[in-house]
Amino acid sequence: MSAPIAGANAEANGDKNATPVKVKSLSKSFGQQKVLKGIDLEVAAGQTLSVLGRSGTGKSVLLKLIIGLEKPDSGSIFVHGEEVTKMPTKELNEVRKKVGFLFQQAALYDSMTVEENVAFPLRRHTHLSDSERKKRVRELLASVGMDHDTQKLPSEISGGMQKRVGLARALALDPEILLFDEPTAGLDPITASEIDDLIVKLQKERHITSVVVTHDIHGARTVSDRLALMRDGEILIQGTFDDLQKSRDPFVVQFLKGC
Amino acid sequence: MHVTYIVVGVVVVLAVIAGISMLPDLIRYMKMRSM
Amino acid sequence: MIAQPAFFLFGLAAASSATPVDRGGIVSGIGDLTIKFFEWFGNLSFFCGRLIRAAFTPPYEIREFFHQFDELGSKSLPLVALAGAATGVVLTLSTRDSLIRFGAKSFLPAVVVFSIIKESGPIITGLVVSGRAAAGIGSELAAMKVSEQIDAMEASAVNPYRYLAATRILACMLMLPMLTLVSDFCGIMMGWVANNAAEPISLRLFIQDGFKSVDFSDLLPSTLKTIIFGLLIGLIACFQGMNATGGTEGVERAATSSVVLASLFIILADVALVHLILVFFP
Repeated sequence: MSAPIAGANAEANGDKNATPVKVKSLSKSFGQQKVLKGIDLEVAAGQTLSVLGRSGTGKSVLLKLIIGLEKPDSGSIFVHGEEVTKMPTKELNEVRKKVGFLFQQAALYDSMTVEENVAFPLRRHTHLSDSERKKRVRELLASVGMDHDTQKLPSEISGGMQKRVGLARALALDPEILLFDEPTAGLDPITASEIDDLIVKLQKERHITSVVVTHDIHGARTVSDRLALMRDGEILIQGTFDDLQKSRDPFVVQFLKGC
Repeated sequence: MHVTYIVVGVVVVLAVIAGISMLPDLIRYMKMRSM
Repeated sequence: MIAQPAFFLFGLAAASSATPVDRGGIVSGIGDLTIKFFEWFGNLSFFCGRLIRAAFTPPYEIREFFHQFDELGSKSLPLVALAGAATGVVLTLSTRDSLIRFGAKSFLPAVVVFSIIKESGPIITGLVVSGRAAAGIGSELAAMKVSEQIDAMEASAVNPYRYLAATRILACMLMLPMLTLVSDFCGIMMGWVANNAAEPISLRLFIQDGFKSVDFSDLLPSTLKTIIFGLLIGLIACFQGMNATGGTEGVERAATSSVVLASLFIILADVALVHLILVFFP
């Protein structure tokens, strides 16, 4: 795979041997509603953890808390051993450069073309020349299968294509950790499994640690090494897919139905 | 969170209103002092 | 001293049009409204704090600033020119009528030029740009907020307060005096055209008479006060946009509330600024 970009991960703070993502006793509420009640999670290096649960529970909030877009009420989050929860913005930004985030609707900048969207992090955080940057953008888009239609605006491409571009943008700075917010939401089954396959392929090639938040059990089964099922803001059960299948809890059985 | 906003809001609004209404007098006072 | 409570009630009326209030009776409605009014100001103050911190730390988004400057300026120019021209015509014709009654027709050029430069130009430009720019910025940023683009930007370690808000606000602030000058020019020229149509007068005479009693200390403060207008437009539009919630309806609410609040604050600020200018430049 392509070599890491000089300048993007220059300050590799934190212990490389520490767990990539660790969440301890995390709690968060919005107004009266408690969406996370003392969550504990850990993702081993190079592995994929899927966080499952019913739609509308605190799953997306968990991802936003990991990169500091929201602050928790209590608890702590560690990225490569560094505590993210109380970090000042400057250091938080360094952490953010090492974490790629694929948003639910891809969140592509709608005034920029596909190419400009993927070039945005490179333009901002690296010192590549114009031609080097263009080359890198083409590589990234090719790796997600979007090397056509690069001059189109996000509104002119389909949902599946937007997600691919979003993924390319998330990979721009060679992150060690990827966060996925409902990667297959709103996609037809064929496109959804294409995206899932793409995720698996990229993880194998780049040895990335991932956290995938989803309500799609099929997709979760394909891409993850471990799964965590949430209910009412708490983790009901955590383990491999086989572990979950062995459970007799009615909620788990219902969730896994048809799988 | 909400209460913080409200308190700061009250302070800001009162400060702005007070400032604007007192400014002409303040300027006149400073002019007289420099004379 | 009568002004203060008047401003307060005016502001209250604006708050009601900008924020949704649940129907719970008149008295609780007013109490609710007052609380929302102060909460809005508090929220705005924190926004300003974040904005100032972002605006004065590197990396400065010069490129994006010029892009916004160009967008706002070139898109507003035709509208401002038209509004200025129309105001010039209307002002000339109606003033001419009044002056004739006082037997002071020869003062027409001077009155027209004076009014346009001191008041009509700035306020009309301010309100017109408020309509266009505030709605544009408000809806653009609201759409970005609602589709998580602002979150995405923060997650890419780019400060949205700097990249999105500060650039737009600065662009508004610097654009507005220039647009005001354009509006003044169009107004004065069309003023001459209207005057000429009613009763032939050479352009040379019109300009000479018009600018005889107007000097630089009339032009400069009035044009510079539009910088404050620009600040208000940019600030309110960015604030309403970046705090939008709830899909397309949220975008619509952000756009309309931006225009309403920006226009309102411009009018209130104009009153205060005119007072201040009179004190500084008697």
